[in-house]
Amino acid sequence: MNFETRMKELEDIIYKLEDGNTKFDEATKLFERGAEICKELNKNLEETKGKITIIRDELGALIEEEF
Amino acid sequence: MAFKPITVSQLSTYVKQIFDAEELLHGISVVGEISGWSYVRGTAYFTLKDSSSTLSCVCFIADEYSQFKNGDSVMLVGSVKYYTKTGKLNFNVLRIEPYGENVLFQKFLELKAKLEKSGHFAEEHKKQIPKDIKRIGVVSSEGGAVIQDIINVRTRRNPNVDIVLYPVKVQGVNAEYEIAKGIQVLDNYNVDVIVVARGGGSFEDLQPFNTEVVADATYNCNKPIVSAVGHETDFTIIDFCSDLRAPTPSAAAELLCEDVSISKRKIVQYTRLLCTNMLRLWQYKKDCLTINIQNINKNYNYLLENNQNCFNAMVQNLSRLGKTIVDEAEQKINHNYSILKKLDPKEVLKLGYACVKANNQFTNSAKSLQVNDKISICFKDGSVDATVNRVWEDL
Repeated sequence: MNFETRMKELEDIIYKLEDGNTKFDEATKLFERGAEICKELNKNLEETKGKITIIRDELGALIEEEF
Repeated sequence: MAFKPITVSQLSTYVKQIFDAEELLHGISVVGEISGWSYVRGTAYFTLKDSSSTLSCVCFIADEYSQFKNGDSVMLVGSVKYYTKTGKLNFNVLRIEPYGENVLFQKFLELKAKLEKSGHFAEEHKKQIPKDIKRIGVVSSEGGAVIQDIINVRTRRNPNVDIVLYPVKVQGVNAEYEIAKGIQVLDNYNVDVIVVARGGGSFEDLQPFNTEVVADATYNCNKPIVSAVGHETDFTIIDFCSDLRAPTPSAAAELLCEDVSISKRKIVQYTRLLCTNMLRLWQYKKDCLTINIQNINKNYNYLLENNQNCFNAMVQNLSRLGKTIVDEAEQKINHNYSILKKLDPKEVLKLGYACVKANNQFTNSAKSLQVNDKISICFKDGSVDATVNRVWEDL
């Protein structure tokens, strides 16, 4: 699941928790899932580091090297 | 110290070797004005000049360039060659193009009109720039400031994004073919979007981006392309064909790299909202529960109070009823008592009657007695024992 999809799921959970008609058991499960997504999103932002590479054409074969 | 003399051929060959070995003199572009144009069996000889210098030129494929004449401002593509036979230096021309802002601009307008007609700029053909970009393919110069600018912006805004550079010449001979190839390579490569970028330059410098080959590559590319050529005021053909025009390469990086600090702030905000909403919901449910409990208590108290009243009324009723019953019973008892009292033998004896006991039992019949029976006669104030002397059948 990508960043945007998880953000969307989190938004939906927050919206559902705004509704007083949501049953308490369901709300608890939603809250737990929301907390899990927040954790995943933070981890995703902190841990990933992008790479910068350059493509070399060597005898017709493309080779990706560190820039 | 005198050098050993050498022959003309030796010197000429040496000079030729120097010119042949110098890479900077091959595959270059030179601009100037044509003069002394002469055509002999497919070969054109002429001089290229500017305000202070001249260059002898020869073009062996002059049939392709018959439209040029003396006084034309042109750009020649070719190499410098030294001819040992004549001892002269010539520019060996491989291609001739019109040059000069007016000429180039005219060419630009013609190509623009042609591509517009063929649908290269059509809005419906343009692709959406994706969100959540992970890998950006860049077609640009390897050594220029442009790629550094893009990397810097990406590092500041979102260091998680990968950048894949396909290095190309961004000006000069055949630059347009390298750019077109770069677009095609990255179109089949693992990138989300392609940026074609170069820094600012003169209108002539930007010509590779005003070519049909680059326009076609851009138009036929399946991946979204962002053009970022020159400064904000520069417009090239690729800007019309691309899916998005960024005013500068840095601006392209700004557009494509979502600011991670915004995402971080958004996550913090959402985490807070998640907790607030949960707490609010919990409070709401708690309030509902409290109200329900209060309602139950109220109902219970009401029932209790109501029942107590009923009970009291019942007790009162019962008491009242009981009292009536007791009173009535008492009256009845008193009445009966008075009747019974009247029937009490002792009361009768008080009237002057007497009663007889025989064998310790009252008897009311003379016939039950026989002569000599021992009897007791009871009076109101005592009794006497007697013996029956005679039994009378009548009074």
